[in-house]
Amino acid sequence: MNDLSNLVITSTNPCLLVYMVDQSRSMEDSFRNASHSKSVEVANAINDILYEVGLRCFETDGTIKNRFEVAIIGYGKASNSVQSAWEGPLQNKWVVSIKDIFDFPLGEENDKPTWIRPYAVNNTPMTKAFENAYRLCQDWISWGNHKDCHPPIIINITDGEATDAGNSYQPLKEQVERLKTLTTNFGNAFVLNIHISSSAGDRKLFPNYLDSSDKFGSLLFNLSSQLNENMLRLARQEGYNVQNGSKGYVFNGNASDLMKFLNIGTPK
Amino acid sequence: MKIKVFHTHKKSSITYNFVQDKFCINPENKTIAIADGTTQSFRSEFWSELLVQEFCKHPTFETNDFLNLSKSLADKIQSTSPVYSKRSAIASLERDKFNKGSTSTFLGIQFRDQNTFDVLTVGDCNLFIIKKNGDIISYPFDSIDDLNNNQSFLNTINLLKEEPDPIEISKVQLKFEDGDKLLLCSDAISRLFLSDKKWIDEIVSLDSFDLFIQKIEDLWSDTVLEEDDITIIYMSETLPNTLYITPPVGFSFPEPQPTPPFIPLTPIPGEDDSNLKLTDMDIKTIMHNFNCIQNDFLEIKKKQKFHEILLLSTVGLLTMILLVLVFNFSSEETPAVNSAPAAKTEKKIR
Repeated sequence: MNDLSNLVITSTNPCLLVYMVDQSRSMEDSFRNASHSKSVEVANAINDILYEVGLRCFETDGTIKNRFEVAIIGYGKASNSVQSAWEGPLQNKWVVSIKDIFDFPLGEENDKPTWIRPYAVNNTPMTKAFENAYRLCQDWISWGNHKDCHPPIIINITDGEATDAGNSYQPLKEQVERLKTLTTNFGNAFVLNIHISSSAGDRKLFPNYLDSSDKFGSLLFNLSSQLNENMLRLARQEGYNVQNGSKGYVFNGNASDLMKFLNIGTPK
Repeated sequence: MKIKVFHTHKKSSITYNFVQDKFCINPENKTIAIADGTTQSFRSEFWSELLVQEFCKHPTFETNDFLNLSKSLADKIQSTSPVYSKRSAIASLERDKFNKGSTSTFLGIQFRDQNTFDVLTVGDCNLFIIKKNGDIISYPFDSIDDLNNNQSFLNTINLLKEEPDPIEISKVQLKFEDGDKLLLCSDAISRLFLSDKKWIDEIVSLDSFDLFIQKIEDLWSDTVLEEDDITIIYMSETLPNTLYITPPVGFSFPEPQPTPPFIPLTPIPGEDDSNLKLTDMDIKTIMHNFNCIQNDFLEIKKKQKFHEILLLSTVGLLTMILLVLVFNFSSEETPAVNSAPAAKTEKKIR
């Protein structure tokens, strides 16, 4: 296994980012004390992180280097349904290079391009979404020279419990663990979770351990990967108190945590 | 002292036009400056170029004077009106980058007398003095960790603020003895030299761009050296003359061959027939792939034609050789055939 800290993400060795977005009905509720809903907050954060990735890949000669390929998996827009969240010209695409993302925006808000819209419609088929992410990542790793690339990073943003995992959540556990076994020559795929729970509770940011009464919160914590060296450095730069062993998990984060979490999960 | 300058751009810039490391040597006022424009900021190559040129014209080692100089240059950069892309998403990136300003690190020196020079630095450029006995003094950073932890830089927008965020400026007057050597380096090569001093001799002893770039590319591919612009200004009394080792006209790194756009191979749960409908982007991808195949096909055809010509030439050549051989053979054999009866005749006569 090669050392990830020596890897430079380039257009010949791109990195796959998979954002999994909960589009279930409960995402309609207000985001903490904000006047807008959780689904709006999450869509804004995803649009912002895509823009941020574009800025990172924008070269001085005016071109965007294809250093990242991005999948946005929406789940819960229809009953037990998982679909690509890209819309407009990118509709039905699963993985899109950052160059194409900027060639085909959906719209514009405050002089900035947008790509996804907020949805809060049905139930929470999270297991199916992780199964989908597994297939995408597996195929992506087998494609071209992707074995020699940064392992895929999967960031799941949810506000609630999976509705397709039974009482024990066993199917969900199996899917996530299976996803984490996928490897490139630089290590295993990373699974990070941000849990914007509706239940009252303190913010938990990149914890080493979680003592929570929220059963599903504990599950997501256990299923999250540990932050790697690069993520730890980014988290410290963002002002978080993280140590070796801190997990890529945030519970009840605010808008700033959500954006910073996405930033930390996106390698520079 | 004679000077040897090593300068090249990173692979991803492809051509030397986009090198963001800049240097200036002004023999009149014995000033040398290097600046490293950051990749992520807006057209930082213009900013770093302006910094080194103007510093070498008006060298100053007073913090306020240097900040005032930088501020006036930042004003020049930010008062330009850039032409943004017609594609709105790209234009928004350009606007954003312009509004965040151009960023560069900086290192300037000026020789006061035979053995003294002033140094002023902002950010992660580094200076090395190689003593006669082989000891190395480096400034401002002694270790890679110190260098990495320094996040200071000159940003045009920050400089133009009423109260700029603090800018860490390091200043010192250093002495050197006859026989000492000096090096001014940008960040990536400084990291390499701080990791192991053996690299200093290995690199500064190179005398041509070909050898230099071969060494640098080897170090890049071994991931010993970070892929970045490289600037080394090496000064020594023992150098025969001043030498600029920079990319020759027309030099460029090959364009990276991107992998074909990824298409998932296995059916994804949740896919329906609508996925089979082609969008503009699908058509664009198909056209792109088709063009690639067409180009490959033309290439193969060209090669095939070349092989045909080669084969025909070989067959022609072989036929000619065969004919020559047959001709030689028959011309050698004719007298033998003629001589045999002659010999027999001779015998008969005897």
